[in-house]
Amino acid sequence: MLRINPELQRNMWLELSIHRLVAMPVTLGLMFFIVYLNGFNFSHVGNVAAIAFFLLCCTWGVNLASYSISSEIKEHTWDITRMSALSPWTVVWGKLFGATIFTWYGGLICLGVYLFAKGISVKNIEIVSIFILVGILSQAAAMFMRLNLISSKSNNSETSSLGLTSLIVIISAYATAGAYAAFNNSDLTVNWFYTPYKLKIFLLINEIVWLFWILFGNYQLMRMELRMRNTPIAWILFCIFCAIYVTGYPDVQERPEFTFKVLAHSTIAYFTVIALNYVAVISGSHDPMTYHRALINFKRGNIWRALQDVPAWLGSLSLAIIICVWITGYSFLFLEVDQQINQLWNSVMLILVFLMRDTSIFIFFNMTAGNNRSTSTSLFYLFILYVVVPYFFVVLGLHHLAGLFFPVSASNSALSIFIVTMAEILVISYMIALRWNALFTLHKSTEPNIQVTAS
Amino acid sequence: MITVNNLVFEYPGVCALDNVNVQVKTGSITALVGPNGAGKTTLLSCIAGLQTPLSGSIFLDGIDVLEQPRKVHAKIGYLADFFGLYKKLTTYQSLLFACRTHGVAASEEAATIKSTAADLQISDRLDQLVGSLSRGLRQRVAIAQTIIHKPKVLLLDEPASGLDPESRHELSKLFIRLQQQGMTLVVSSHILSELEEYCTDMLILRQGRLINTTANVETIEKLVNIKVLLSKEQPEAQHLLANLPAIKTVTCIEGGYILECVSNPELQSELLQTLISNGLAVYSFSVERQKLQDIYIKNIV
Repeated sequence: MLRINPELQRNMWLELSIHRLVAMPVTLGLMFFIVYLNGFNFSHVGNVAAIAFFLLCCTWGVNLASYSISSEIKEHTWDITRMSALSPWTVVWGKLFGATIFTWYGGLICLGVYLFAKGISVKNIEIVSIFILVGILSQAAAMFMRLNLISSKSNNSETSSLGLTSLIVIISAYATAGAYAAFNNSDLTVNWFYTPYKLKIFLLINEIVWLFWILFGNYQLMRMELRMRNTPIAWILFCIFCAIYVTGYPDVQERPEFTFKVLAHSTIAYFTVIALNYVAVISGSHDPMTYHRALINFKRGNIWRALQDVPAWLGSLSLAIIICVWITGYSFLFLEVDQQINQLWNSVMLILVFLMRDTSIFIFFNMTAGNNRSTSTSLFYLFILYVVVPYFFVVLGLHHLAGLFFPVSASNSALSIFIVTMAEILVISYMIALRWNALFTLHKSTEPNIQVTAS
Repeated sequence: MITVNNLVFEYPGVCALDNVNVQVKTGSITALVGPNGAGKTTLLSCIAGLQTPLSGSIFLDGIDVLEQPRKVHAKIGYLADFFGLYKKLTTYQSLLFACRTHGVAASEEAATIKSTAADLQISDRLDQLVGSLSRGLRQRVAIAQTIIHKPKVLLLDEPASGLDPESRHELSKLFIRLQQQGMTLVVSSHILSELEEYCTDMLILRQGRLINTTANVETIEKLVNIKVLLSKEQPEAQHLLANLPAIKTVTCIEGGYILECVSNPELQSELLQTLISNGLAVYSFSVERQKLQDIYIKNIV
């Protein structure tokens, strides 16, 4: 016998009361009727239905999806799920569609009205399909963001979540409008790896692929919540996907030779991985105990267990280093080393050391017990280093010194910037070591420890 | 049933569990006691696979908790100190949800809910919203959810807190029934007098370490305290008492001594004769069975 997902079932009990089941269609029906009376135009009703769908599924639904797990943590019911026999995937889809089921109930009514008002055609069915995809995508993204905040033990998760939810709403509004435009104009094309694709097909495939990644991300984070072990492999695979995906867009026309195009695309992939590394550093967990556990397991030769505690940023940093080596080696072997290539080497190398310095700043501010504001403190000091200090030197006319902190000044040699940044890394590493020692100087009991066999 | 080997759990700067080794036998009810901050909750949540220790291993029914936590979750029930319930569900819905999340067969759901509700004496509350129940009844619903899949091991963190004396007594009886059904229970509690009603073993934690204790409660119950009062001061008495083979410990009190020895009427009679024949002016000789409280206090203070 087919059994309904328990999480979905529980949410249906909670969300779908008789009153709500009646109130939603009545309210929507009244709203559409009023719109119809104001001009007797079915097309207007269709447009309002599309907006109502967006408000229900991409705004309210996004908020519900984001709140679905944090509310359980707040109510101390999360352990019921964590101690259950449910698989991570069952929990993910049960929560994703369960928590938002009432908004989908209303949203699907809106889409039905949209089809009725605009007429049932292939184009309109495609538009409705993309609306549904955008709805699921934005809700899944909201759930992913909140799960990530929970797993990184962010104490500012409510504030951060509100900001991220708003961001998702804006992106989904943009995606909905874009999809609407693309499906209304079938001639639009997009170039990817020098091949033109019909925008609406490209958009549809994009939505499906991104939905896959977001659901996979949710699955990975849910595994962690259910105490199953992950390694940074999933994150590395995502970085590789993003690097290839982003690399497909630019049209490199500067130099015609194939070798240069390979180098240009490799550089774009490199910068994509660097950007993702910053995302991992800013949004990831820097729990000192996790680092401690990873180190201890490495020392004891438990490599697999150690890998399970390795932070995601270390995976993308390793990937960035590999691409950096590739770019340097490839350009040295296959291209004539001119000023352009030299500049490329410098920027590739410098961005890596700056990334390492910034990462060490994040680690430093996390190396305290119960630091609630480590992310905001780290971002504040990065602002000081990247904006305030360089501007201060610029005002004083010391452009060389300004360039050491924010390498936009062409007058600095790459070597000097490299040396200064490495020196900064060394200083911060020393400070991390001091905090580490203070943190892990244990206050142990002096009691004798015995083995008790309770039998 | 549960084997904990060299378990180390640290919070920054604090060693919450320091190289703890424990074995809990199948079908026992083990009391986990210790002062606040001793590491009881941390140990329970590590055994439940909800926290990852720094090092060490935990095996539950032969399954490595750290490697296969979900397999372990299917075999155990864990009730946290600060548990939560879905307040807007009815008791029946809560139990049905618990059945389904633990994979109880659809054909057995109704019977399982009925028998569990009867066990917890909440059969008449099945249609009531959980949020409208009293603290004691909510505690019972939480326990019912925890045991509905008939787990092999039940971990309970302060299960009796907030319950009235009658409910506590009922809870004790339930634990004994569950033990008789073959379940292994580990119960963390501060209420030692209640633990005494049902626990078969005891583990005492202090500052993250298992401190020296007699783990088997049956053994504890075989020990007695004999209070001997003397009519006059006799300084040589302590030396004499300390050298008697039947006596485990001697504690000085005002006007006499407390002697710890095995509960055995013949031995106690011989002891009294020995004391008198050695010229001690005994005017009171009273025997008290040792309680968990005595053992705990002796180890903790």
